[in-house]
Amino acid sequence: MFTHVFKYRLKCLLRDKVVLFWTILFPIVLSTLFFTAFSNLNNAVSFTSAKVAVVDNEAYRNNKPFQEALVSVSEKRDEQEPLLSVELVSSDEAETLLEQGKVHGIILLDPDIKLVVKQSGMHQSIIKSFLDQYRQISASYGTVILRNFDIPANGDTLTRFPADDYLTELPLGKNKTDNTVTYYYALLAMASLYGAFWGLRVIGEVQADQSANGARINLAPVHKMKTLLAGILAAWIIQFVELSLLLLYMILVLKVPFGNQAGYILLTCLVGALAGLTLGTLVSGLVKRNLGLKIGVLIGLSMLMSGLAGLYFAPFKYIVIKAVPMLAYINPANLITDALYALYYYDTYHRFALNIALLLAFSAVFLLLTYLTVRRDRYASIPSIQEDN
Amino acid sequence: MPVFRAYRRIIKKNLSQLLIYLAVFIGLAASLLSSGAATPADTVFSDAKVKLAFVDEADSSILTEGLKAYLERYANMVDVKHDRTSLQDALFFEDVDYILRIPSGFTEDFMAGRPIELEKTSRPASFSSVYLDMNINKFLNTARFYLANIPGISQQELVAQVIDDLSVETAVEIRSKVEDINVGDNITSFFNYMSYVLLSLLILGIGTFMMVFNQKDLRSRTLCSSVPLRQQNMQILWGNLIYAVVCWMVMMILGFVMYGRTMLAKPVMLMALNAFVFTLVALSISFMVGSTLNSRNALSAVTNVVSLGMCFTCGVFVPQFMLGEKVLAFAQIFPVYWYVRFNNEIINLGSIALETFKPFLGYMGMQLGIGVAILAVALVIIKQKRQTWEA
Repeated sequence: MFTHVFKYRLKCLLRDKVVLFWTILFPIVLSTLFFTAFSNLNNAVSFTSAKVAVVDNEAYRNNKPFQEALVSVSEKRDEQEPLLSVELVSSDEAETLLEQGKVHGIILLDPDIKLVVKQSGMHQSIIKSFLDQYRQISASYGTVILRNFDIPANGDTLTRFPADDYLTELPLGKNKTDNTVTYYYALLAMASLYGAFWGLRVIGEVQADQSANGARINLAPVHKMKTLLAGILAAWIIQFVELSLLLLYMILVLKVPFGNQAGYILLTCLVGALAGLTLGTLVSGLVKRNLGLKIGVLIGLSMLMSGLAGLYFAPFKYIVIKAVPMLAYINPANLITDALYALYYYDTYHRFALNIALLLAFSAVFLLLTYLTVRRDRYASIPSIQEDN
Repeated sequence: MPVFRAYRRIIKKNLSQLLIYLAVFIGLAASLLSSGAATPADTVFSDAKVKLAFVDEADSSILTEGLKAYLERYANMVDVKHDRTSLQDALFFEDVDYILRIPSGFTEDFMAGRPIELEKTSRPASFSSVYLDMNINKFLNTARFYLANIPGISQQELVAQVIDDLSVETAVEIRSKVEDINVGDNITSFFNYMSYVLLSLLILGIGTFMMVFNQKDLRSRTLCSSVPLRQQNMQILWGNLIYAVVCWMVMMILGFVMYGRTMLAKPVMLMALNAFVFTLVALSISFMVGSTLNSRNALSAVTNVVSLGMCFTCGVFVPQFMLGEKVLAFAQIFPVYWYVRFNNEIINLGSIALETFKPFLGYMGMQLGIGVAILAVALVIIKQKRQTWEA
């Protein structure tokens, strides 16, 4: 009997085009939009050479050391872009280039070195740091020569100014930091929460006062819990398959990095699907009759929760954890996002396990509360079941 | 004006749904405002600052304190707990750009002239990484230079000397043309985001109305009423127009509430004009959507896909300069692209004269052109629909 009910629940649910749209098509569209918008985002913060126009005048041509210094920073080192990309031009040309925004600054030897810019900024600061350094090194030589009376004035016996690199990059996480993945993770969390719409349908169809179908099904000589469980199971399977498809799309087509623990990621989807679904059954059980209100509450909740998990602005997730940690732990969307983030970035599984455990706990509580709200309902009469929801 | 009255009642009935979008926008706008008001244009050069977490694993010494004090010029020190997870999170969510770790024994090794290594964590090959590397190395190299050439120099003297040398600065001249106050990116974002809300409000509102009126039976009934078709259409048109203008006005009032007199600045007034042009285009999009769709469920789906789709690809949510070239080339078929481009560029225009304003007329023209094209398509669709009914 259970398999029979289950099979038909599955068929009924799969014919609901509206919920199918919101739970699978919409997330796919949104993830594609994320992709188009973010595809260039990481390039935008990566370093590009600061463009400078050097005024080719008398003072510059006579200053050999400065010319050498310029050459040394405009050569490509290792993999990295050179610090500066230099153009040697006349004074007028330099002004035009700056005005048109083709260079970040003008270096003018007058005869003291001067920097002309349009505004403060990263590129401009890099040029300035270079120029400062040039003058500072001369200052250091001056001081040292002053303090060593016994050395010849040309400083030949001095140890030369070192140009060492003392810094070594030490990656912190397992994978490279990439803020944009948070958006995709939060999107997956949103899709999971949209599973609530399946929950809404499942409850609507076993409660006699919520739909005509529900009234009919209640008349059937099948235990209500059996129908309910069959419905929940069917919805859970559908939602899990949908999330997996979304995941596949993100990984294979959009190439979103998820790390490489496929099993754990699927587990997150499975648990996330259950959490979203049971949230839906709970809301649907608590809010009686008014379908519009139920949908409103669910949309509001899922927008709020996924927003707090970083769907609209990724750093928001971090701000919430820092400011109100409690809020992060009771928000299913954040738990899903965080589980995926932990898999991607951390080398340990503690945080992942904590997230999954909390999600399961919430699902259990939601399910129990749903059970308490829908069980043992008896109706003497049902005055108004609107055919047309 | 029976049709017009019906229009008002339909909008009233759906007000709560429309208000959701408005509330979302107000939330966004408020968070924009809190992120900094208009600032005067740069008159003095200031060095860029990187968000730095300075982790001193050794007990601080005069040398490391000196380094830290020196770095304040190039970095804002961020207070993060020094455990691994906190640092990881902070870096990932861009609360810090750069983590510098001073290993224990650093000062002794450095003073003794032994090779040293500092561990740093940053986003590889980012600006902040290159910039801070450069300035940290500068400090250490200068210190090394003194150590090698002045044997027996004390730590205190060394740090004082290095800091003294490194305070030498290049003269910087700022060529800024904008004399009046910089209205700021803030209000540009406000206007850019506005396109999302206007689109959503119009598609949803007008779509709902058109759908009700185009129901086959209802349409047949109104067609045989005593009100002539021409007048019916005029009333529908007026209803749509007034609704659109009201939406635009709500946005402008919101702008005044948030930005006050800045709204009266010349470039901002032009942005308002641009927003009005965009409203008309959004109206024609809504008209087309409303006349093609038959179900409310489909309407909310289309509203979201159309408004989010355009706004993502055209640089509303992510600024245009951060989008890829291909995306931008594609986005030119959408009116939102031209609308956003207008706003982004007008704010940087030094002086507004007829000559400099020419391209902006082009941007508005592009929007209107797209709007007319969409309207034409909508009219064809409506005609075909009626013909299939009549057949």
